[in-house]
Formats: sequence, structure tokens, C-alpha cells
Amino acid sequence: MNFEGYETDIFFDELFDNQGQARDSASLLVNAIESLSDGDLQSRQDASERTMHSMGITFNVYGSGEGTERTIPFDIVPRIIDGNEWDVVEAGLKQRIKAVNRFIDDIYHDRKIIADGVVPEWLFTSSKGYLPQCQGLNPPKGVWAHVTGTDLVRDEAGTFFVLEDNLRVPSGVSYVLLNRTLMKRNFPEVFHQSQVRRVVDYPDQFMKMLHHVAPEGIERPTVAVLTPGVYNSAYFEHAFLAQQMGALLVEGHDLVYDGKYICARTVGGLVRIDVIYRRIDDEFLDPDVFQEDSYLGCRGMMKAFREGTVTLANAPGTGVADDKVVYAFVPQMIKYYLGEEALLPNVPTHLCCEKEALEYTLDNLDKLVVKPASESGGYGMLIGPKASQKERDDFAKDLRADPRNYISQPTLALSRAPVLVDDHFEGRHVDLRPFILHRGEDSYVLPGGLTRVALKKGSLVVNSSQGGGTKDTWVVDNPAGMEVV
Amino acid sequence: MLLSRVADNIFWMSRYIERASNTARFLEVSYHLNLDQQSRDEEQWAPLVEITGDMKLFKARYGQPNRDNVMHFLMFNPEYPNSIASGLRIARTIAKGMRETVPSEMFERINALGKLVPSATKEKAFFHKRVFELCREVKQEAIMISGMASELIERGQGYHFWRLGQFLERADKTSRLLHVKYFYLLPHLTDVGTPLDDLQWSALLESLDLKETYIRTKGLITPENVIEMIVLDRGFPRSILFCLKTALDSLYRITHDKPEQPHEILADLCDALEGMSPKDIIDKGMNEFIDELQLSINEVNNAIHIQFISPKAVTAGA
Repeated sequence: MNFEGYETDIFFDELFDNQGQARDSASLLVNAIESLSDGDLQSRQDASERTMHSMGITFNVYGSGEGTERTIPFDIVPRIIDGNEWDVVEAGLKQRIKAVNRFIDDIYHDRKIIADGVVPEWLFTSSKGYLPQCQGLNPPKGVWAHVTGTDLVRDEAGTFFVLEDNLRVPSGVSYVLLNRTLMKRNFPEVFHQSQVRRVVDYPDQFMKMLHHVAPEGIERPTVAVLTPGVYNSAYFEHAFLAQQMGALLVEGHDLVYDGKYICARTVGGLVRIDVIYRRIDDEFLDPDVFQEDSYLGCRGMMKAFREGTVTLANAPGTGVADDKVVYAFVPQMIKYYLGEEALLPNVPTHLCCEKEALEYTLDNLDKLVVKPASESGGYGMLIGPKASQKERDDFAKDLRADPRNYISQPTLALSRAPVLVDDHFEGRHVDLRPFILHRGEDSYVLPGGLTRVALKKGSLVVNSSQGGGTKDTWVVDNPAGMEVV
Repeated sequence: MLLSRVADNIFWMSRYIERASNTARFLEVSYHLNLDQQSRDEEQWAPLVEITGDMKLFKARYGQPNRDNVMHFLMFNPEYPNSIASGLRIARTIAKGMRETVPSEMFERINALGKLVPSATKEKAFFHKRVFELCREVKQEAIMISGMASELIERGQGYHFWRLGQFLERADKTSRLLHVKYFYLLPHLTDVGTPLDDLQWSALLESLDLKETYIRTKGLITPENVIEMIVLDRGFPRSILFCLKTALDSLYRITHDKPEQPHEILADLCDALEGMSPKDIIDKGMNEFIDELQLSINEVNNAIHIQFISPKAVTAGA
């Protein structure tokens, strides 16, 4: 099995330089793969996918009839990041999350950043995630966004850019842990020699963070993961995290508000819950306050949250910053709150609510990517160069009708990494979603994160809902493979 | 701490697996029994449907029971919730809904078992070949999963809901089996004691894996001895009394020895059985005895639901 004939093309490749030489960080892996006999890698990949099936790591494909279960495609060639390079990314993410948390807190209190003219007032009033009910609230330790999945991409030069911040209920971390388990089985030697930074303690870090933000005075908080239930496509992850953290996995109807506390119905009666890691959106949390017909949450949840008898992670209202227009102002927030320059740049972003930017976007639809401000999962997005004239014309109408809801960005030449295609390798575009746990005074960043890969040739869309797969991500501290003592 | 919803799920997952394995046992033994009949006219397939209590449903769908349609109904039918295929699929779905509770090794087994039986068969020839194998596999897998439950799960409330479901289901199915033997296979009292009668008792014992034990400990087959063994034995894991006492033990462990409504009903039932001899049962009338028994088991089911799962809502129960 070798990489002969593998083309990096004009793109930045995660494993090879533009001369086709394996990067230092990847050379151990490339050598190991090249020493395998033909078909070996393929059979390891097949075995890994069978393992996923037998472990039931599948999601139901909506609308395709009973019994259609799929795994998210897994590519066996890991993506490798040099440890020194990662340290900069990690520092940049910590900085960013700190500033974003300060921003959310500011918005729900004095709005100094607006008073000081750094960001315009309409920024939050028009953000779909803004909740007036959260005005003046002080979640424990000042943390709003406890868990963030920030999407990063690299351009032709290999520079990391922040594409978006997922502050509501980012998913995918279970695949990071699972992919790692599979990869350790497949390449134990290379793995060991490369000194890959560990991800296995993420559930532990997570649980410690949740304990840290529990309501005051509780020695051993009871923690629950709130899931919409088994039919949710991320259900596996909810169950996995609950199991790994030792938390209760609850659904809305397991909970009841007793007038003061949120309690779980157990065989021994009602038991108070102190911290809820919720995997449902704000609008479903509490039918008394938000969507009346929601069965996913629990009546009284917001009251308990406001009175501080339960901690919700992430805090309701955090979504105010999960908006692609707000995103565009994060570098200013970093400067304003922390007095620092952003370590990780944003992708240049045009706000269509500004007249000039709208005109520019409309004139250059064939070159730009246009995204709705508050959608996730790659829905409702236009990739100009790949769209037909009709699609662009139709999109232009939507854009004119509701410019606040759109931003545009240049179409990036996303970096690529080799994936196994039958008996050879081909380059595919990738992004990276690191996970950040924020504790207030400091943050923990999961080394690496989830590498998503657009498996369709030439595609730029990495979302699993749209044909994307995943890879294990190795942050390596011993790229040259020095003898490990 | 065990959520009521999770307790209910464990209870029913366990019941569905136990139910499927019992149905597999009955199907396998009937198939053998009917192969020993000299002519096809003597084959009896209706009793198998009677055991399920769903004869009405069966007739509406298939008409008169015969070998092929009974096998299809009990093994494959995807619309019938108590078919082996459906039961195992339901158990699998429940297991998927509580991944955080079921040990991974056990989950993988239940996951695979849920996909073992195809939901439909295109060729008739297929199920004749496969039904035997499937019955054996289902039975063995159920034993394996049950073994995993006892080896892998800590003896907390979750474990005891699993055990409670398993043994209540088993008590119920054993009683139905007996019922059917007594009243459908041999409708004429004059048939009692004939070679056919012996053959049927023997098949019944076999479906409970009891035949070898019976012959070793009791010798020749007599109805009294068989009833003693199937209903009143305290040492055999499929006898009704053994099942009920095991279930009662689990109830006490769930509530940390505090007696509640379901405990009381079940304890009364056990006491009543312990005071009986096989002759008492025959004198009382098998039909009446089993009807009463099943009514009591239903009361226990309802009481369990009200006590642990849905304290306020009153439901129809199992």
C-alpha cells in the first residue's frame, strides 16, 4: 500500500507538503501505511465499520423507512497536527471563548460594549438566540457557554481560520473518542511513538466542569444529560456521554418541577437534579416560557434556572452569540474585553445587512459562499461557484428579502487530507471542530477535535447530514519518532 | 438512583427477550412432536397459538392454523408484537434507548439478537430449514444474555427489575403452557394416560428443558409428578413457584426490604402455592387454578406499574 500517484493539487494537504513529501508530523504514519500489504488497510477500515455497527453507533436516516441505520463514515487515515502548531490554536480558542462568554454576560447586563460603540445595538436585538428572559441573570461562575464546538478551516497556505462558533448544542465529541479507540487498535505502534495527546479523559474533564458550575453549597451534585430521546440523530452521543460521565440520561418527561427544584422521577420517588447538560435547544426547554407544545423539556425549568436551583449547560440565552453576524465581531470583542489581538483570525465576512456588502455579495454570488446567520448543519447555504445560475438567482431573491439573515464569505480552498478510496488514496477537503470546556477562570481544550471530511470528490460540505465522514485527529508531540524512553 | 422510565424499559426488555425465548422453545418442541405424528391430520398447531392468548388475531389474519402459518405467525410476523422477530426487535429498540444503562457487551448481544430473525420470508422452503436453527439460536442467545445480566450488572435496582421482568414473564408463560396442554391437546378425559398423553407431557417437559431432570428424579411420567415439577417445585428455575419467589425476592431488594402493594400480592400468591399439593390442583380443576393464577400475576403487574413507574396514573397493566 503506498501513496504513489497521490496528488496534493493546489491545496494545503494535512499530511504531505506540496512536493509530495510526508510532513514531519506524518512521516511515521506514512511509513507504517506503506509497509502494509495491499488490501490490509481496506480490511482494517471494514473491520472498524463493523465494530461501529455491532456497538450500535448508528443513526436513523430520517424518512427512509424502518430499519435504515447508518454509521457516520469513518476514514482510517488519521489527520495529524504538529503539537507546536496546536498550542497556538489552543491558546486562540481559549481566548475566543473567554471573550465570547464576557460578551454574552455583558449583553444580559450593562451592554457596555454597545455603550462604548464597539458593536451596534441591532446586533443582539436581531439575533434569534437572544432571550429577554435572561436579562440580569448570573449563572454560576459567570459561565454561559460551558461547551463550545468551534469550527476551524485552513486555507492554501495552511493558516487556521475560525469558520463559526457552535455555542448551543455542538455535537460530535463522541466520535472523537470512538475514532480514537478504533485507531489505537489499528496503529498501536505509530500511535505510541508519535506521542499523540490523549482525548480519553474528556468525559472526566466534562464532569468536573459540570460539578464546578453546580449551584452553591452542593457537595456531590446530581448531574443529568437531557436528551430529546432515542429518535434524535445524536442520541448515541447523549447516551455515550451520560454513560462515560456517570450522569443520569433523562428525557423531558422524566423531569418534574416541585415548586423549587427540578426533580427526576425515580423508582424511589422524586430526586433533585442539580446540573443539567441539556441537548435540546432553548425554545424546547420549558413549555411555560417558550414553545407551549414542547414535550422535550420540563415546565418550571426556566423558573428553577432563574432562581439558581439548577444549573443549565449551556445556559439559556447563550445562542445570542451563535449567530454568524455576531461571529463577525468576535475579533473586536477580544480586543474590547481582553485587550488582546485575536490569535485565530476569522474568515473575512461580509454582513449583508450593510448596503455595500449586500451589493458586493449580489454582484459576486458566483464566487462567494452565502450562509444564513442562524442555521447550523450546512442547511440553507449557497456555495456560489458550485451552484447553477438558477440557484443563484433564486438565492438572490431570499437575500434581498432578508439581508440581516445572511453573511457571505470568499469560497475557501479548504485544506485536504488523504482518504482511502478502494485501493488507493485521494485528497478530500476537511475541517476541524475542537471542543472547548469553559470553567469561568480557565478552559480545557480537547487536543485535536473532530476532523470532518467531505467524502464526495471535490465537495466542500463536511456535514454528516450531507455526506460527510470523520477521521481521527492526532496532535503529536514527537513528530520525528524519536525513541520513546 | 433508577429513573422510573428506565426501570420500566429494563423490565420490558427483559420480558420481551424471555417471551421470545419461550415462544422459540414451544415452537421447537411442537415441531418435533408433530413430526412424530403418523399422519398430518393428527398434527396440532392451534395449541401453540392458544399459548399466546392471541387466537382471535391469528384467525383474522390466517384462518385455520397449520404448520406454515403458525410458524410464520410466531417466528416472523413483523406486525404481531409477540412474534419472536418483533419481540427481539422491540427488546433491541428498548436497549438502544438506554445505552447508558446496559453494559456494552450485553448491549452488543441484544443488538445482534434483535437483527437475527428476518422480519419476513419470501420462500416457504426457507423457514422450514431455518426455523429449527433460529429457535435454538434464540434460546441460546437468551440464556447468554441472561448470564451476562447476572455476571455483569451490579446487584442494584436495575438488575432486580431485569430479574423481576424475566421471572414474571416466565411464570406467566409456563402457566399458559400447562393450560394449553391440559385443555386443548387432550379434550377428552378418556385420552388421559394413553401413549399420546405421555408423549405430550414429555414434550412439555422438554420445552422447559426439564425432561432429563424429571426422568432422573421422578422416573415414569405421571400428571401429578409433572404438575409438581412445573408448578410447585422450589428448585427448578422454570417452575412457577420458583419464578414467583425469585420475583418476590427482587421486589424486596428494589425497595430495600420495605413491603409495598406488589410485594403483598405476590407474597400471598406464593403462600397459596406453597400450601398446595398436585392433587389439590387437579381437584380444584386445572382451568380454574390457572385462571386464578394468571389473574393474580396481572394484579402484581399492575401494582408494580403503579408503585414504581407511574405512581398516579392507573393503567391496564401488562
